[in-house]
Amino acid sequence: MAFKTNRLRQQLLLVLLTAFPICCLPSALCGEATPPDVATEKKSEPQPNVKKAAADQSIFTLPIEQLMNIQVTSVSKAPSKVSESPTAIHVITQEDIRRSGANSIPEALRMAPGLSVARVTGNQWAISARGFNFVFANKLLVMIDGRSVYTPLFSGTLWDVQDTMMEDIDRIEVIRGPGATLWGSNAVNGVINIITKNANETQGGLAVAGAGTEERALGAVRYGGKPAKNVAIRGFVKYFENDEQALPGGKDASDDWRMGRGGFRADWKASKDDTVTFHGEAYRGRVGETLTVPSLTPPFDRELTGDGKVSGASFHSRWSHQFSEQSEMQLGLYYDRTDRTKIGIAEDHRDTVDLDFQHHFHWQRNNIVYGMGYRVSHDNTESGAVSFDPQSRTVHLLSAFIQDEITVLKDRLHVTFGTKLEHNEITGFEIQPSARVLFTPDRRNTLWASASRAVRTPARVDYDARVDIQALPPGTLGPGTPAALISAFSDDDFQSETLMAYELGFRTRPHPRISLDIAGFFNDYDNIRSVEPGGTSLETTPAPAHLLIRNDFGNKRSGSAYGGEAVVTAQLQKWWRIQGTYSFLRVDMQQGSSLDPGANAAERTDPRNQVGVRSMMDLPKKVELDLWLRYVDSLSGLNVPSYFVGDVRVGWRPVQRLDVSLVGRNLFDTQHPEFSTSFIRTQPTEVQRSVFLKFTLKF
Amino acid sequence: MQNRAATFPLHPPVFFRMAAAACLFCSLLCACARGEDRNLEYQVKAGFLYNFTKFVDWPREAFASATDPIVITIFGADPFGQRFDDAVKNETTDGRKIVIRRVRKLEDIEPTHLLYISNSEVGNEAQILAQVRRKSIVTVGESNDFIRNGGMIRFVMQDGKVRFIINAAAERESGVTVRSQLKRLATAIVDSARQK
Repeated sequence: MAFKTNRLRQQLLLVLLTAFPICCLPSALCGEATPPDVATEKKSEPQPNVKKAAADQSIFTLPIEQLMNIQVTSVSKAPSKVSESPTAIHVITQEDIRRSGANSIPEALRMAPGLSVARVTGNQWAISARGFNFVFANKLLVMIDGRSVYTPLFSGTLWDVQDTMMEDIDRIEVIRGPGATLWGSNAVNGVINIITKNANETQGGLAVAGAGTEERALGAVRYGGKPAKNVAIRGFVKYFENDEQALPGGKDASDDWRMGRGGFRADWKASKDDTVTFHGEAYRGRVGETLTVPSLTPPFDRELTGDGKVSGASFHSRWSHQFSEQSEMQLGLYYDRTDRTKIGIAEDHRDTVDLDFQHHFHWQRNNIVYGMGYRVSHDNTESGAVSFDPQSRTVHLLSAFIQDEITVLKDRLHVTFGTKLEHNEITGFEIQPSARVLFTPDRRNTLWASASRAVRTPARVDYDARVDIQALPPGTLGPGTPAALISAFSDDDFQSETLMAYELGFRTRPHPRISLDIAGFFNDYDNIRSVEPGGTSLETTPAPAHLLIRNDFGNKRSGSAYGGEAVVTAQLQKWWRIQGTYSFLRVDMQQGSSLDPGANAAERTDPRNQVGVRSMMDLPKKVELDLWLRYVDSLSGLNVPSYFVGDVRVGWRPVQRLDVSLVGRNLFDTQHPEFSTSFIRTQPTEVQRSVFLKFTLKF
Repeated sequence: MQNRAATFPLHPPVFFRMAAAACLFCSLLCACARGEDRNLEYQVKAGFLYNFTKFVDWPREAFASATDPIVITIFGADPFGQRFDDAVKNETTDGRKIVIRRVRKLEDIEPTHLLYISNSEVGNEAQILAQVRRKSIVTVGESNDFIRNGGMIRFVMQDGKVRFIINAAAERESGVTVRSQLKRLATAIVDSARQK
């Protein structure tokens, strides 16, 4: 019966999704002429090869030398970086972010195909590419301007503190599939690269003020100037307050989210061949949550509610030097500090310093890039339900990589070979090679294939931790038995999880205004973390004496995943652009020798089908109308039903300097769950329908 | 393994329906989208127009005062859009602001320092160029006959990139000075006196 309703829902969705463009077509067909009032023109496709120019207005004022290097022959023929990249890459542009109405990075990521983005609570997200999603998802590398923001504690990303001035983001590059050769460990299932604008492109002032039913308040100010010749700077401050989401019954949860942040960026053209960039940010905020932690005294499972405190700062400098048109190098150094106190769970204070160098040059038919890096990260933890032994540890990571793109046939066939070699103190040397072929039979079609190996090196939670999961009252295990504690212990000999990935992709532009990007993959995983049942013993500390039901981390799971993603972008009219995405994913885990009862759980924690359709219209009278429909399949392993949501944004520019936008989110239901939790039992909450009004003023 | 091989990602009927929907969708899209998006090309060309003002010296008489703006005039259909104005709004060249005008009549051309003749005016090009002859106006155009008609800078496309040709004869005639840096970037410098 459940199956039947599912089928029905699926079919209904298909009808809807097909009906949408068809209903829109008559107007598209008749409306050949552009309404005269629409002055703005839209690019039909992100143009990442015009790197700095991606921000619309900046092209106009680029120096002449740069203008001369921009490939412009109608978009279809432009061999921009994306269309000639042998990877499954999707670029979310500033324009996409603006028109989606997203006020945070995780919400913007919902636009990318192949990603599972689920909001667990008001301030927690579970985000992964091509499977293995959970709150502590650990196979996705996330970087902001080249600074890695995953925590070595569990090799995942804490999304509640990853933010910046949204208007200053140039683009977000989302790479599905391993990016390990260039980016290193942890880039197993994907890489997210958040790139902010050059300070030259953010001159002048910008003020943002908004309020809404869920996003209660948002205020931000940015100002950019040129204090000296060849130096451009900008600074910003931002504050927001988000309301609680809802519990399943409709009552308010306690997962509000408040954060203040400030930062700067300076770009200095030190000489004709040298550029130096500095940026820094600091933030402080509070994240509310309710969670259940085990306790050995009544009531055994204790529910805690309160605010976690998060704060941090980073400083990043980068120097680029151009030796010649064929050769350039980059040297980067950053320092990053994070402090996080989660009620009942743990406390973590971490300092990271990272130094990296890379050199890129052409030599005959070769386009070679190599580099090396060193990262040291020191932390100090305070125990709660999760405890680390030792409490404090310093982790060193050394890495080197080389990649060569060889032109076999000019403008037709390229092959790329590369490998990364990395050393960490737990598993020693790790090698992550990849081979890619790129075939461009003509300027409209691109075909690529790749095979690569990637690893996830152990995080502290894998080799240093004990996690207390649940406490059982006396007598639960039989008459007269004492209280019991179910705990998981990490493994000193934890191995790296490995992936062999095979990918195939096709991009085409059947018409100058339409582009299609399809990618498929088969991933073979081994040594995936399992939680093996251990023995039961008597533990006397912490008091009172209790039975300890032991579970041990192991590497006994293996499995595979396959699937694909498709993106269609069409500029129906100068004033109307639509984009459709479809993602399919299937994960098959094997029990093997593992006794982990949840060995197959990963099969059902990601949506099998995801569909998104966005429509962006520039209407007369400087009005923009944007629609966004999303269907996300059910997560049967987490008892989360499928959902179908719609967002609407209406933008209006009454005068040149002012933008007013009204965004309605999740309009089809009052609330719906998107994910659930395990292990660390944070109470999941449900996403609610909301309305948000925003003013953006340039001054 | 066998299990994997046996399970097709979607139930066949659903799959076919999806495929059919996708085909329909795509073919309809193809049917309705028309024309070529040449937006980027014109953004870049607009960028060149702005940059040209930095590499040209006008005689002093071309400006009423030291703070007078540099006027870029677009003759004919405007391929650049309002965003060009927004982009150069806060920019200056030698302390002068940049002003962009759009005109469609010969008598409206002046005052201007740089005149861009849109492709829509190819038929009237000779006439327009004759109108501004011997004046301190940099003329920019794109047609094949632009230089022959006495234009000063013509955009050309090379390997998908925007480049330009400079007509030294037109420069001499106009009295403006095109700096050597710009000449070095030009694809070619020709010396073509007006025909006729």
